[in-house]
Amino acid sequence: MRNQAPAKREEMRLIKAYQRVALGGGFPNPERAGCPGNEILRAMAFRKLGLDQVNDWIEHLGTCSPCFREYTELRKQVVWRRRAAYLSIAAAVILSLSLGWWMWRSRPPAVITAHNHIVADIRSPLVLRGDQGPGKGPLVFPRGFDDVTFYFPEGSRAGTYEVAILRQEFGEPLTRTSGTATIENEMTKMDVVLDLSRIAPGYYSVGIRPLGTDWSYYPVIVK
Amino acid sequence: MRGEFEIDPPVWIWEAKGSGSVVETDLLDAARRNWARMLSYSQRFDQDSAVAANILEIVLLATSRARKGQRQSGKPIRNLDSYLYVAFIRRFHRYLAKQPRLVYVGTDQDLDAHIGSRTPSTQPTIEDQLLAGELIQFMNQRARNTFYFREIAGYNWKDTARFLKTTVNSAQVLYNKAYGGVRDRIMRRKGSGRPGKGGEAHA
Repeated sequence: MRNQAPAKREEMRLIKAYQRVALGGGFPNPERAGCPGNEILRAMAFRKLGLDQVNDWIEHLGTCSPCFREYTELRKQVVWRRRAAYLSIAAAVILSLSLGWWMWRSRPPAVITAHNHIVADIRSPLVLRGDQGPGKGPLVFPRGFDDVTFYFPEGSRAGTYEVAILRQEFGEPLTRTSGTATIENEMTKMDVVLDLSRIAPGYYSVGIRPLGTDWSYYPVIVK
Repeated sequence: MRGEFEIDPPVWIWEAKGSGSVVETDLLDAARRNWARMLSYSQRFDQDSAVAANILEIVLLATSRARKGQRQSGKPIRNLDSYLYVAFIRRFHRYLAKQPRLVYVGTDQDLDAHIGSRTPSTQPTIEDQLLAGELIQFMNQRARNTFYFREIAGYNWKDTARFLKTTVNSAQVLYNKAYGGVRDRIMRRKGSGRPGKGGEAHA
């Protein structure tokens, strides 16, 4: 059985050789004898000419270097136009997707007015990796107006505390409130109402601090 | 038929051949129109204008005979200029194939230029030029047109199939068969290192 690969390689070499010859002036036509003219070449290059008419000129195109050069330039234009069209379409798609995503992201979240009662126990330090016992994950606050009862870590003092929901630690509070913590049965607890009616679902931090001191942050999921 | 063709090429193309038979006027007009083209082509192979004139004369007579046959079969020549030019190239390469493969150079600079012209580049080499000529020489008109349609004009297989009035698969088979045959023939010639026996009889 014949090996087809060298034959194909040779075939390509012949084609390339022919194209080089045609482009390099191997078929001179100094007086442009029998040339079809730019209009027909353009129509051929842009595939606007019927195949029957193409048949009239195809042999000339293959054996006239000036015509082939002109035709090659026109074909380059076609390729560039096609690429430009594809790029425009791709750019339009990317732009509309980005715009859609941006609009979706920046739309105001629906206002939820439900009232929930939540117990937020932050007495034990959070375990963020490894084996987690029940109630050791991030706090979960439903959207709406939440009556939250905080149980503070052991040794926390009674007094006025600020509570805020932040996008990230050290960020600007999205909502904030304050309340008074009291000590009952050796536990420090505080009841506040957090307005989460306009906050989009997602991951946040809840910051708690006695007035005038630094924030302590705890992860929270708003659902 | 030959006259002062080197001074004013179109003048020597007369209407009657030596035997007295008449060559059609439109064929002579086409010959006059394309003479400069044919001469330039032959000069690229360092051939004398007399050689080109001789070949054109033979081509004109052969074409005139072929046209009579084609008229009877109802298949007229679509583009006389191209037909004549391609017939000339085919006949010209048959002539070249019979010539000894020697290149004479006058000076060292000419030799350097000749060697330089064989190095790979985007410019056509002498070998490319010969290969292109042989492609024309060995392909029949249908195969040639299909080759130009696909590889020169860059049409896809779907259009090529419509051009050949057949299916895509058949077009590919026809093309590969015709082109593969020519390729093998060229490779055989190159392998043998001897001039070939020439191409087909008709353009």
